[in-house]
Amino acid sequence: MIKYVIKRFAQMMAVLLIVSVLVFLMTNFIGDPVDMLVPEDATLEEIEAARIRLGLNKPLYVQYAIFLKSVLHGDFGKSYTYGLPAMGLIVERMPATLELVAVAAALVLLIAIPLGVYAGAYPKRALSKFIMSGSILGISLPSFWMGMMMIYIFAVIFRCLPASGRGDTIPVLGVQLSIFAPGGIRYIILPAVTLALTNTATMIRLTRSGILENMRQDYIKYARAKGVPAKALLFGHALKNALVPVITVFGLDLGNMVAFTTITETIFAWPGMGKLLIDAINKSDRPIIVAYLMAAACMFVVLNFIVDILYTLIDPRIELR
Amino acid sequence: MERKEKHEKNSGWEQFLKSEFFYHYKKNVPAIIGSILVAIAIFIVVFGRFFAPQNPYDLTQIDLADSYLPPIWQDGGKAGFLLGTDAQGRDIFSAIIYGSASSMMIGLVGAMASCLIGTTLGLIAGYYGGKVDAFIMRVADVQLSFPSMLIALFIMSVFGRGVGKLLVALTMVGWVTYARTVRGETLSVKKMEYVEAARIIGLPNQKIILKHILPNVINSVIVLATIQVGSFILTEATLSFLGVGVPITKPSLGLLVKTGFDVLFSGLWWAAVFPGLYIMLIVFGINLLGDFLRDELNPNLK
Amino acid sequence: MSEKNLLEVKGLKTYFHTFKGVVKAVDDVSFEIKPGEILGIVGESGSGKSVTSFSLLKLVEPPGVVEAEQILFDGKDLTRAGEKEMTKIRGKDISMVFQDPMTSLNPLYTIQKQMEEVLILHEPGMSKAQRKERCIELLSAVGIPNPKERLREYPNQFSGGMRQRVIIAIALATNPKLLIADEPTTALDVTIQEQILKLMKKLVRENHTALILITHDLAVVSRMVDKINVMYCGKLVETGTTEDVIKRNAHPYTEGLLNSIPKLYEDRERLDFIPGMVPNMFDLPAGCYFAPRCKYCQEICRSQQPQMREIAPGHKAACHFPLIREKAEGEVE
Repeated sequence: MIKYVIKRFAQMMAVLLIVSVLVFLMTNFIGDPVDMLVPEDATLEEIEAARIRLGLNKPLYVQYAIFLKSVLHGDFGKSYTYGLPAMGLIVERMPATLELVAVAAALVLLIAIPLGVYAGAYPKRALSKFIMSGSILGISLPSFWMGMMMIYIFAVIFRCLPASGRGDTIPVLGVQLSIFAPGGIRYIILPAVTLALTNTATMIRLTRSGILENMRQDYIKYARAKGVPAKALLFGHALKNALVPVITVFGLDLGNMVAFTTITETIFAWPGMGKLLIDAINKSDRPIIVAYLMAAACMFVVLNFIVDILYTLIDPRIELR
Repeated sequence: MERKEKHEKNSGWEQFLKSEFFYHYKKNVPAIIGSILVAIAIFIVVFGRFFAPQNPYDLTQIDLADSYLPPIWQDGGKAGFLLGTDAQGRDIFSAIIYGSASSMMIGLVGAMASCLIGTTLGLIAGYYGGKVDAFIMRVADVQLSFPSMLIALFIMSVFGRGVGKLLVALTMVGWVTYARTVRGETLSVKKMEYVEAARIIGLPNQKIILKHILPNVINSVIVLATIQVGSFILTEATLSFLGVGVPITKPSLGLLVKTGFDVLFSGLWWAAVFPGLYIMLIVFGINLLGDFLRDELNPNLK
Repeated sequence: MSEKNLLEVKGLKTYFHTFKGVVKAVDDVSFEIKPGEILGIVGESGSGKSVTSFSLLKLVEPPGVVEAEQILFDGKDLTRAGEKEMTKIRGKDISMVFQDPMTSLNPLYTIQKQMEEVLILHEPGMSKAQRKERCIELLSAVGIPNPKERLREYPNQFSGGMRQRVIIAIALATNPKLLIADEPTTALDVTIQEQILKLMKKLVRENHTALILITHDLAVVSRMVDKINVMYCGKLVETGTTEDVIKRNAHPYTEGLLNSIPKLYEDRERLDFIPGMVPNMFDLPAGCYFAPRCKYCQEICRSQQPQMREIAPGHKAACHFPLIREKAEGEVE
């Protein structure tokens, strides 16, 4: 087990290194950062001075080495627009995003697994067919549009939920969270539902097909022949097997949700790192983009690692290699 | 006698009508709804320009005086502007027609490019194995550990807006699903005895891949491609909505929703509602069809 | 011999209603079995022998439909039993051993959990310790070394033969009155087949459990069983004691099956085989289903279906022209 963990850890580092190279190379294409720093009427000498100050006159690999070194120190430079360290900005906004993702993820699990199990266990029933058609509709919905429609319905027409923002936050274990603040839940409902929507739909389908597939297996028929009642077949035997792929996909979904917060946060003006990224992209604020990508990469890599470990714990067939 | 002749003439079509595939299709209401939606969407793409009241991207045809008109059935609606107008006085109905043509084209071309590249790489990786396989699959693994939306977003933010760049970005994120599925299936087909036999009699590898392996994996590829067209339409719309997709001057359903969003809070709902609704209907239709194809062609596909 | 029958099946029909038409997988089959008796059901694949066993336990999934005049088991008519009652009978009074031990066990649970499951369901009075003890006892009875340790292992840590032993142990855990084994050794290596069969026969005899052994291998059956049912295309074509069926077989199909068994001491150039193919189940011949492949076929065979007729006491065959044989002479066992 320890050997496995070490091996996976080395892989994680390798992936992060590759990502850092790609990010470095590609951000070199994002508009010349010097343009953002010097006044519009700057002279050539001033521009050249700025280039040297930023180290942009050195060869690419030297620039990368400098980049990597500062990245390892958590230094991504100062945001052009905010004038503050980029990583600090990201870290400051991370709780808001993670809070949103966590609530959305809880919604996904609470809604998708029961519905998926039901649709898989009774595929012929009308309700199951309704759930399945609904889930196809769910994957077909543009989530940004869905968010808007919810704003229009609940904030503009009925005026019962706030259209944007996060509300007040209170510190919980040193982290600023809004959901425990008075009225905080009202702010998070619409963005969380929007964020959860697509993933709920895919998760319903995955759970259902897992249940359907496992219910066809020999071991289920054998368990029936042993006298295992229908409910126990479903929850005792098929569900656990069906959940094996669900866990993997849920891990990927968490990553997806982090990515989709860029959209949700933009629509609901949720002050998280996703909105920060979109604003940064529109303003070519390179340090923030780079800091965001590296932070997100770390998150995904760790997530995948956790999923892999969980996977081996739930399924004895998988050997640690 | 005459009847028999006719029978033979149409045998391909008639065989299809008698097939299990068609039998299941007839009984599958969602699949029929899906194909109707897709058929309508394609019809609009092909013939839409002929019945669109205006060309919303031709500045000489739009009149600022017509801005913010509500749909025709509401008070203040104006004849000729079925679904109302936006801030520049563009007819939403026409804008949807033009926008959907470009959105569907992007989805279709992006999916086809991904499909071609991904399937080829999957066949190569699965058939030849070894280092090529290891390399392709490592790249796929690394890529898969990141959400494709984020990768596309990043690529677009680096290279800037544009239809061509968008297609490149979609292909770069889209090829992986094909590569993985096709590789997996190739591996299992490769072990089958008729493929072994073909190798023993010395058939060239390319011929074996095209004649014996490709036909076995094509079903999955068709299903994946169908679903991907839908998801790419959504991705295009989302990226355009975020301001990194199609340039503002070009037609796109996502951009229409974006411009609609700016005025949503003032109660001008139609500019955002209708384009989004239309995206949903197209993608819904494609997904219903894709779902049916999956059940028929390869139920094991995830 | 006048013991009451444990199981009496009358007019069992299992039909599958599919897209292409109705498949009569089991068509009007009747047989019975006494307590402690071993019955072999023999036939080619697709003859309906497995479906017969699943039908007895009502384990046939849609589009299959099971109908029977009567399935009298231990005084109860199973045709009238609902799913709830069947759940109580399955695994308790009638248990099953499946064909493929590699897929019969749930991969995510330990052997112990899967063995105990049947005890928890059917022997609710047992304490936890008693259950564990019973599991260990059963595993040793089926010849698994270190049962205590192996209980904690997962199915993927067992070989095919070992898994089948586990499944037999589970099947016998509740001392059932009837055990149905559906091709229990087909998926195993030849060297292990014999061991498993011998083990099963021994355990069944010890517990006075009746056994229905389903197989396509007449050679296996002839050494194992008391009575034989031969099935062809969903129909019962011959039934009788092992001696009747093996030595005085009356149906040409049985004769064909017997002739296709390799015999060690017989010096033959090549094995006999039954000419032709098993007919398409959607498109069965009008008369006797075996007529197209039968070397004794007459006109009537093509038009009229033969009924089961008694040839000798307890020996029946469905043939217009049953083969009459002299009492076994010169036949080598």
